[in-house]
Amino acid sequence: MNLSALSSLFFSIFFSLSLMFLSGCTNQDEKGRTIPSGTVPIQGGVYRVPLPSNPATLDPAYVQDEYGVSLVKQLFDGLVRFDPYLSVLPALAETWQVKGNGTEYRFILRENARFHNLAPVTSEDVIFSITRLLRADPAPAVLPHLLKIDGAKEYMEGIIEIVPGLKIENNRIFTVRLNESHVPFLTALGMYQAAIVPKKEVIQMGNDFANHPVGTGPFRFISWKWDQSIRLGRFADYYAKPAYIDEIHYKIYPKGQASKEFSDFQQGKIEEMAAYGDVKEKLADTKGLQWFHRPSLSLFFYGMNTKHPNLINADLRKALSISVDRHQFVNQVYKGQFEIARTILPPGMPGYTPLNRMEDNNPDLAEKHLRKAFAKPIENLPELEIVSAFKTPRVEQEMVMIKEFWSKLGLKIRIKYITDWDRFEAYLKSDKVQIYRYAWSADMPDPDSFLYSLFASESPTNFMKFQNENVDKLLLTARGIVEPVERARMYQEIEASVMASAPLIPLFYMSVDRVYQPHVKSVNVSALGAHTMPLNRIWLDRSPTSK
Amino acid sequence: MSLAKRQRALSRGKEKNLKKFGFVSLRYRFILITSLMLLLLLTTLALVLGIVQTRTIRSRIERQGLAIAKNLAAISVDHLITYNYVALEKLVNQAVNNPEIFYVIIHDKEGRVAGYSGRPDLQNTVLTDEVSLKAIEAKQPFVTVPTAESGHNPVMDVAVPVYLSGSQDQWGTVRVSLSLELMHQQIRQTLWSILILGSLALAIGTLIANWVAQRVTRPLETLVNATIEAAQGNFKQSISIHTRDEIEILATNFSFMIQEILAQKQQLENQVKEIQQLQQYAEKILATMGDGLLAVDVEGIVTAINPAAHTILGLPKSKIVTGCHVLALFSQEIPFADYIRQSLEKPSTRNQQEIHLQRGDKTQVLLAGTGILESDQKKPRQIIFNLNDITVLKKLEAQIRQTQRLADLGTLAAGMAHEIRNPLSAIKTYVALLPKKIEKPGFLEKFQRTVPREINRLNTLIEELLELSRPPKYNFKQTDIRPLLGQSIELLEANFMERGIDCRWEVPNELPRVMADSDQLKKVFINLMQNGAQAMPDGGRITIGASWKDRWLTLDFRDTGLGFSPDLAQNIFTPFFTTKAKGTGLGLAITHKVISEHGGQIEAKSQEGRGSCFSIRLPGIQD
Repeated sequence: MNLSALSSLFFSIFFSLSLMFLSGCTNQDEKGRTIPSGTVPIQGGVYRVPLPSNPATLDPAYVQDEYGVSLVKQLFDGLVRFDPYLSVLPALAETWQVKGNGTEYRFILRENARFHNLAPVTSEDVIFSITRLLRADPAPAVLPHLLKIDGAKEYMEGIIEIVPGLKIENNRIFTVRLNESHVPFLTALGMYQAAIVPKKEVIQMGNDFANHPVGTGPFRFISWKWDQSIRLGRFADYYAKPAYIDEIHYKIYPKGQASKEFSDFQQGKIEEMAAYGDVKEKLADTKGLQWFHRPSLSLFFYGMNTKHPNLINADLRKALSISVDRHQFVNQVYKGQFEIARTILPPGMPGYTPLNRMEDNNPDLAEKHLRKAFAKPIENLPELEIVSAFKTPRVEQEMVMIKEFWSKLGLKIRIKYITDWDRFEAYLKSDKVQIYRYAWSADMPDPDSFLYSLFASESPTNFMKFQNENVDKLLLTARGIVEPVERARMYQEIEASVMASAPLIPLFYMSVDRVYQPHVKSVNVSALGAHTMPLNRIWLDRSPTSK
Repeated sequence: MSLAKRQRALSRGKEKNLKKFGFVSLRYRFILITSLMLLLLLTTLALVLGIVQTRTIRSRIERQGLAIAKNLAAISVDHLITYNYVALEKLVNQAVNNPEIFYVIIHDKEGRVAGYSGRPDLQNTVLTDEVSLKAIEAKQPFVTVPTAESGHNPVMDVAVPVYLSGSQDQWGTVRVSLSLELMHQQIRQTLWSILILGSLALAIGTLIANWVAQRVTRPLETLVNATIEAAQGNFKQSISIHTRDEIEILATNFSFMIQEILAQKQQLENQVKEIQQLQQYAEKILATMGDGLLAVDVEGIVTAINPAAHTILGLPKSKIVTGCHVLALFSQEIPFADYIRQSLEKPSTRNQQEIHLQRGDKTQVLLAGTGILESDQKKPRQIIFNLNDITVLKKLEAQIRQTQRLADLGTLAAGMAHEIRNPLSAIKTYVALLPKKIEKPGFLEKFQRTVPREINRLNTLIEELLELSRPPKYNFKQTDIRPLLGQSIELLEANFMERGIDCRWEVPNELPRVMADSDQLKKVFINLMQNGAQAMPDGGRITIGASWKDRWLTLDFRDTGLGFSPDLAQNIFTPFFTTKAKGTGLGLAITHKVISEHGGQIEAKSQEGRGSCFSIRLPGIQD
């Protein structure tokens, strides 16, 4: 054996042993989390989003619908904003100080904050934006919080013309003084309605501002073709990091174009769409799609007009609620996509407690309540009306099932469809409404946005005409409680009080279900829903290696 | 090939084979062993370090996991009480920013997922996997055994139940799954460090081992070269190694050994020369000797043959018979072939035989004998046939026998003439005188007494001659000799007493029996004893002895008579040869015939004036 043969033998042993040592480690690498390729965001591209309808307005003060919200979120910024976990973060306000035991907020604006017309954001613009909300009609959801500002109520009522609680120190600094401590105030400033608008443009443009908005958001308005599309472009002078995508195209699919939206998604003409119903089954063969599902802070329910003669009896309302088999309802009508609801507050919302769960699918108990409500013979029971804003096969299926549940109680049900949203809302506000299909999503992660909005006597969205002095009082008290546990307990108490008279039938907690094209990156939807997600962090990776 | 050459060739062959099949020099062995030991050391070090580091890091990760989980539990308790999933989701997602944390899950009081890092879709669901169920049920902090699921890194799951301070109500569970990837990375780094440093150490170690090995093996190489030289026959070399260690002793001893070998080699060469001379001498003897030698192995294959054997066996000189089967060579010579076959079947040195071979119209007589060359185990290895052509000798023997026969016939004729003439002369004389003296008183009485007596004498002579010459008619039986001898003595007892002869009896009580005609043997015994008595006219002693050896029974009839000369002893059994005044001279001839026909032998020994001894040997019967 010569030296080379010996050496090769020796080194082969050596390297075999080395490999033996390290083989385990190498395997570990393979098993480990792999960093996906292309983590460096790519600038550019057009992001196409479907809109099921034209927004009513693009003026944040008047936006009521989700479609408007989704655009306003891109066009406007408020003083503060929410992160994906709905925590309050500075936005146009660089920083703030809270004084006077939570009654005074001193805000300092960012020096580089600019409107899309490149005008700097000033304290005057902010005061103007807040003040105009006080007299906005219809009243924005944020109004109850703003009314906590010293003199806001008087201003709203036209008694005074200047809100004394809002004081400008200089172009960048201003103070907001409240009547009393109001914990959700800062959070409320993050709501889309509280976006900051340019005073000069709003005054100059008047109603046209709703069609040609000028904001401070990461995208600026380009164009709006009615029933076709809305285009937004990247705002290069955005005070924070500019958006990755060049443009957002909102493709509008007016009524009856749901199938078009689906085929456009299939053909890659839009980047995302809602994924309810059988969408997932239909797209099962398409590879690489990103499916997004998460519970949201929302509730689907049947509201009952507590002042309507047919529904004035709480026992009847309870009987209606208890007789529904929610599991069957969700599984058969909604294919089990949602979590059944037996509380008003969805899980995850502070104040939620399983202790407040109401009975479900208990025909005997329902019968008891019914007997308690009606001493009369069954044939004299009133005919109840359900009103729905949508008339789709699924809604019809839902109605059939509800009729079936309630027919067991001997109740007759009439279905009414009012598919025009304005007419529908007007009907809800009227005294004629009996039972209505409705869903409620939180504007902010605060139980107040649920319980006050739906059940406070003064709330414009209290279509159940629910009136309970104690509840009103507790709702107001809760707003002033700082300690979260104590506050949550108070909302639990409020919920229990409301549930005791059963003004609504909670059916399921809704979830955010969306599907995205494979090349869409950095999607992060919060519990408030996809429509509240700013798109400035989204980027598109159309490289072949993209997954 | 000479012995030295053969040795050198052998040495070279061995060296070549070693190099071809498995020769590893001492130096490389030393380097290899040193390196392997280093490697073993490194392996052990890596394993030990790996295990120790794994334990340490795992323990640290466990503590870290518990600390993180407890912190999270403390932070999340308020959110759990208020069911603030959003806040909890934020917590878990913030916690998971730590690269060592694989995922964080917070379960609420009901076991539902309140927060699951990176998995908002699982929020508000109930996890039913085994680890989750165990975690939810845990009342105390607990750590799961790290597992390595396929396609995933091994993780360590730490679960901490969340309690309100001062209360036993559990409000949820915080689970932290720590990736052991970092641990593996650190262990990998350690192993790489060991590998790199180890490679360096190995390289340096190998170089040092090489240097040391060279120092150690250089004198050994000198010694090895010396041995190779020696193996190639060069014993006249001087080895000079001064290492002051065992190698120097080895070299000195080797030097001494090759001197010894040189001396012995010289001696050996001388002996070889002698052996060669002897061999040549033996070869010459074999070539020149008159006797033929044919050597075959036990299978019958001819291994050697000398020229005389060629000639004797009538084989052409040009024919090469070595390697041929001996029976095939002599298939025509049936008697010889039979002899060879018999010798091959039962090799024996006693197998000497006269073989008559027909060569045309002449007969060749061979005297063939066998010798056996035995192996170390005393087994026949070769059979040496010694062939002697005795054709001429046989002819001479026949001529001598013819001459002897003529002489014997002369003696017989003379004896007969003499024996017949005397009675005939007496009868002739009386017949011639008859006409003249018939009237003479007393003549006729004398005539009647003499003539019949002579006629009887002639008659006895003729009867004895007939007895000697006629074919034997024996009645062989198993016979006990002892009583036979006794009876013979009894018959002669009176005669011996008359003559003053003392008869001695030296016969053992037990003697082997013989196949014999007892009447004939008795006659022989009587004849021999009478002869002895006649040889002692003045009295004397007759001794009858018996003995046996190797189944042969020997009977001795010894007298103290006149004896006879050795010349007479040669002819004593010849018919009509007699030293006595009376007698026909046929008695001992008949005795000889009877004994011969019993398968025995008789011989006479005598010293003149001191007596004679007749010894009979008869074959005994085996019991």
